[in-house]
Amino acid sequence: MDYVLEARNIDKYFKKPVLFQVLKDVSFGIEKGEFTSIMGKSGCGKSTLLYILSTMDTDYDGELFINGKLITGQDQRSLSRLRNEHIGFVFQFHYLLAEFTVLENVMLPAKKLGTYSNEEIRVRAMEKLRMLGIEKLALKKASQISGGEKQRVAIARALINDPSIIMGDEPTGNLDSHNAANVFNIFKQLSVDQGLSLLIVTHDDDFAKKTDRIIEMSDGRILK
Amino acid sequence: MNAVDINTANAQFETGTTIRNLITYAVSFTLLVVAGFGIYNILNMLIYEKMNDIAILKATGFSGNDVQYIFMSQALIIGIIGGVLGLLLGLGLSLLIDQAPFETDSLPTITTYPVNHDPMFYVIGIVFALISTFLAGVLPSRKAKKIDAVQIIRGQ
Repeated sequence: MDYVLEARNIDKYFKKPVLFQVLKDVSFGIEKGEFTSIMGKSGCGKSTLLYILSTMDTDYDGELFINGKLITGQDQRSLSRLRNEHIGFVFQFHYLLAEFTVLENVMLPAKKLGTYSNEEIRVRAMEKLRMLGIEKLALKKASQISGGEKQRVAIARALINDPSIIMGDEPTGNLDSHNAANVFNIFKQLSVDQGLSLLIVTHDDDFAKKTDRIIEMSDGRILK
Repeated sequence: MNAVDINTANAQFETGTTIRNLITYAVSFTLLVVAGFGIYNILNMLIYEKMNDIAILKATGFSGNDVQYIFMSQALIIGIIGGVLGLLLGLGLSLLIDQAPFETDSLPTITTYPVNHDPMFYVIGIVFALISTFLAGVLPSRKAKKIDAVQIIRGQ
């Protein structure tokens, strides 16, 4: 089984204010091109799980594999590089750098990766913007566009390094139904056309119903 | 007739000069330390303002060291620009003062304020500016490096 992402026996504890086990023996795998959503009540641990899978949270027991390689235990620098190269992240809040233009925001992770020249990165960034229908916003300052447009820029930025998997923490949470549907369609198209895997935490039933697979969580466990 | 050698005659003058130099250096040093603390303060505040940006950089794949480097460069840029501007201002003012008329009996050959344009002063100035801004930048940039991206993002 060729998993893009695999979690094995993941446990996590919160230590403050009291010892509390938030994730209990979580194991699952995401295949290439699979569009997966994670659902569950508030506090069930889904966002906590997502941040562990994103390599940003290293305080857990268990093992995490990305593209077959063991990630658990690697140092911060390797994890950063991995995140840069293989994982695209979309949050509920867009987190664009306000003083930069849309184009510069999208180019940033690619500049960090350093695989292409600046000119090539610019071309690739414009391509992603075009794919999302926002190429005319390229030179506008990130602070000057609408909420739905900002979220699309965030998605373009998540895609710039052609990651193996896109992870989202309620990416449609701040959007109206029209823009939310837009975001879903973009994700769906990417998974079908480009074999992109997706792992999206969401509260939105309509969104989750249309994905390939729903992982349900309750009290830190995955419900089978 | 009384013969007195020049050092004995000028002894009082020399003592005064030594102490005055000491005072000048002490005051300058203090001012620079205050400026350094000012920069430290600004950089600390900057990090609070930029917390979201730091979190997004880390989520996008920038390492803690990258973030530390960004803030260190900021501190050093302040040091270089501030230092150079200070040197230019100092040069300008000292050239102006050099023109100001000044006569005193104890120094019969002097007609304008005697100004020492020794380049060493300028070298000391810029070196101190760079050192103090470097030191001012170390702690804030280390703090920026350690920021936990997950905590900030989830805090929203």
